[in-house]
Amino acid sequence: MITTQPLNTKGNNADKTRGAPVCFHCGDACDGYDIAIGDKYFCCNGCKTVYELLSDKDLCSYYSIDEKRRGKSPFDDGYSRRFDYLDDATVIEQLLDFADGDVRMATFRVPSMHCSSCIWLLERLGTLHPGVIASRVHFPRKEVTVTWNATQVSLREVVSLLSSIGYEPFISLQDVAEKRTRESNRKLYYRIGVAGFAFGNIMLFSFPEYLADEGTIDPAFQFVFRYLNVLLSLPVFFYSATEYFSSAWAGLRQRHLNIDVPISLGILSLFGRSIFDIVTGIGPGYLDSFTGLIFFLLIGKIFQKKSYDALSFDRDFRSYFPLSVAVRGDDGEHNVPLTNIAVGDRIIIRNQELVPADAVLLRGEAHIDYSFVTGEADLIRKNSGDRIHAGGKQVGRAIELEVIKNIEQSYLTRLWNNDVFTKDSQGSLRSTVDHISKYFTIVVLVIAFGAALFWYFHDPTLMTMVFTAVLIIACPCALALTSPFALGSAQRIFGNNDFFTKNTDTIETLARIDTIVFDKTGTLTQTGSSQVRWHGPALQEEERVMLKSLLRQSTHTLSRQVFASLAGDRTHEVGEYREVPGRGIEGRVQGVPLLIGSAEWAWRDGSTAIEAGSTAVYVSISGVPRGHFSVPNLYRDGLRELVTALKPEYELVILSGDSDREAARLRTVFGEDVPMQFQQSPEDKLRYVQRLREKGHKVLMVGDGLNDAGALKAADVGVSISENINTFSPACDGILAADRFSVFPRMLAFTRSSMRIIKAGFMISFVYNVVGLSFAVSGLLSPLVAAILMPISSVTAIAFTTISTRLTARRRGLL
Amino acid sequence: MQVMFVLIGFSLLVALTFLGIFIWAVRSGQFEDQYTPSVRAVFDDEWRAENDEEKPPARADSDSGHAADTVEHAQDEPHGRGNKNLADREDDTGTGSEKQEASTQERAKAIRRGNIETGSATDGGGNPDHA
Repeated sequence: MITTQPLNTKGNNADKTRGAPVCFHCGDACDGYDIAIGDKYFCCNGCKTVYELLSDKDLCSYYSIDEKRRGKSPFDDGYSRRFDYLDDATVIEQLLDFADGDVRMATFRVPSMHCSSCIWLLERLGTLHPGVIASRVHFPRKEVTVTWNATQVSLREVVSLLSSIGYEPFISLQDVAEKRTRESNRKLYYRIGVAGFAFGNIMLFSFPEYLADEGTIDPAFQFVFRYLNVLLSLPVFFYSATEYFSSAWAGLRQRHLNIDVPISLGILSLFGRSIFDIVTGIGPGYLDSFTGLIFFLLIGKIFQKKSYDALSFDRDFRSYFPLSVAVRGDDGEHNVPLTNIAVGDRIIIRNQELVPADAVLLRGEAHIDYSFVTGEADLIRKNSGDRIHAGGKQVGRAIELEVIKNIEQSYLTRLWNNDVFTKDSQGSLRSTVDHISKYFTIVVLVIAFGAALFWYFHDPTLMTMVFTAVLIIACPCALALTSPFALGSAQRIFGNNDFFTKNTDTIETLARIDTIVFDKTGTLTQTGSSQVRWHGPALQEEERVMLKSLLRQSTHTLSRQVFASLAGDRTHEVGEYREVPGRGIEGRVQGVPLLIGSAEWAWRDGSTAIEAGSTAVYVSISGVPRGHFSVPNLYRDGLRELVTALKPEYELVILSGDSDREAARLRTVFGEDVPMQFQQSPEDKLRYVQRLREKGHKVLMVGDGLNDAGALKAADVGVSISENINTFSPACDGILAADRFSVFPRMLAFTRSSMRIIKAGFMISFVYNVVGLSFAVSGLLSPLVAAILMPISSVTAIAFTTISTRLTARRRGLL
Repeated sequence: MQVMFVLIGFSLLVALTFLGIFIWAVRSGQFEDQYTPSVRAVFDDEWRAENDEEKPPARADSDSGHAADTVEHAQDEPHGRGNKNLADREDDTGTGSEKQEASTQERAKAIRRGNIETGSATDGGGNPDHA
């Protein structure tokens, strides 16, 4: 693999001096002018190949569609049989959406699609291969659905084709184990359509009755209008509104008065009373209010159902694992589905492949990247005979391993056998609306029966009228609309700030959190030695080896980071080694004196410019300043501010899988009173969070790696921090972009504001209810009053919550 | 006034038509993906505009004319469509099938150069296992 430096770091000295060209295909900086076609330069052969492929088919418009965001360079590990498992009949069957005759269709998730050019190219796969009949992109889901002719091209070849142009589909064990079922909003749209259609027409047919003076309307018209209204309202009652009845019934069966109970009561009395009025000829009924109510309620529902298609909140380890793995048998090597791997199997793991089960290294040089598991990108070197945990990714040449544990029983995956993953942990916190609706329903029923009783003694003819009128006007539509619109707006505002929540309940729960548990590695710390950069004349191979040798002696975090960033394995003996805390290290490697450390230490000069957000490590060789490494700060930017903001309001806890070597540094940021646990296994973390909850705390877990998956699931809210939103994060309730970490306290505060807004919305709807009830109990609730009051209260509720949520967000700088 | 009944019926009919259109729109998946079609629409225009510019003369003229044409374009356009002939371009619309085959081989070459294997390059397309 060829490493490239991102384009956005133009401040790199090496770039300035060499004036390196930018890759025509992917936009990364090139290492030189070696790879070129005409005046176009490429960073690697992969990019050049994609360009050739595209220019060959006259698809170069690709580059002019979105010039800022170039293509993706194809991942090339030099191993062409990577997709062999896609020739397996059972795998094919599980991946196909559709097969008929020679026509095959499958949907692939392509995480690397990122711009309009990608859509353009992916929808022109047919030009690249005649066997592809059609390809269609669903960008929000980052999916491409490909239809192809099986006589001309196979599934494996389609996947290879996608990979060869830089869009490697992500095919995981989870895709196969459970066929993706997409929750569709179609039914809800139909319901809204029907309700809206009926609402509009009924309103028109009701106007004559409302506007005409008593008795001036032609009885024939009156008859037609009234019965047309009944006809139009039937599908609303029997189709659009059914979800409320079933939800209310489900609630009642669990002895729980949810918000749908009073809504259903209101709907039933609205509809029943209207039909009664019309059939007996008493009046025009409340059918316009009824259909309008359903229409608004359903709109609230769809507003609340905002989902982030490209993100998945319910991934487990299986979505990280490949479908199959190469097993060496007596008769050579073949691909075996992962589910069939048994203890004792000899598996072959190639570059960039994951180790699927705990195993022992038999042959080869293992450099394992545990970033999936721990969030740390440093490579760990393993020797023959060493144990390698499942979830590690091999970087480098192929290795041979012997499986020592089943996949489900491996160190990492064992976590998923815990109860928290089998039972739904949610539900301990009832939403505020449901909480209020209990009392609301009781109060409404008391008022209704009270009023009925009163009229029974005064004017029995009005009794049922008043009783139904109370239920109609008390129907908590404004109440029911407040929270969808407030939380739905909040969710969208969070989305704008790169914090994506699974649903609106998450936001409500976040507002009640009192304890925040942080994972350390990858959550509080920034990941990756990959970010370490050298500034100065390029290092010679021998110089690099010398620096590496010296750095290896030091246990300081900065040394370790720089050490990990330097390629190669060779080291020399170090003589006269000395480490001065807070200043640096020195020593002799092959007779050459080296100094590494602060500017003062290594360069005898304290006046050098330092990049923001990183620490500079200076180097001098033979007493001559050679350059410096810039090492990104270990802790995320804004961590100190985050702690300052959160500490007064929440209890903070740190759980780390790491050793306690950084405890002292963490203490300086978090203070002495924050509990810190080190060397926590994934199960330890899970249990810690469970214990906190048992003590009555409302816990927010902030983590990143798969090792936090248990704790994330066990917490009231699990938020996973991700450097790249489109890569995969473990099962959680929310995904936060790493660069928004410092904004997080503001978001938490905003959830509390949202709840205050919801409560204010409730007050407004109560005011409407009191006004309406005063009409109802006095027996004066005419259809016209209902027709005016009910939509107004709904619209006020929607307008108030949406506008005030947005204003609050703006005040907090989230919009 | 009896005409009112006809009008009411007519208005209902119109409203029902709109409801029908809405249901059709939901059915055809227009509410599932509200982003991609917006981008796609822009491409289609661009794609067509490009074809209008370049295709007609290509079809009308003889092959020798194309070469000059292509070179000119290569110089004009910043992203250069340099080293290929217009026969390939006709390929895009799926006209000549024998030309498709020719270009498949070219692509195969390109893929081999990049050490990326796709099946059709080696076994000539169509894996019997999947037929």
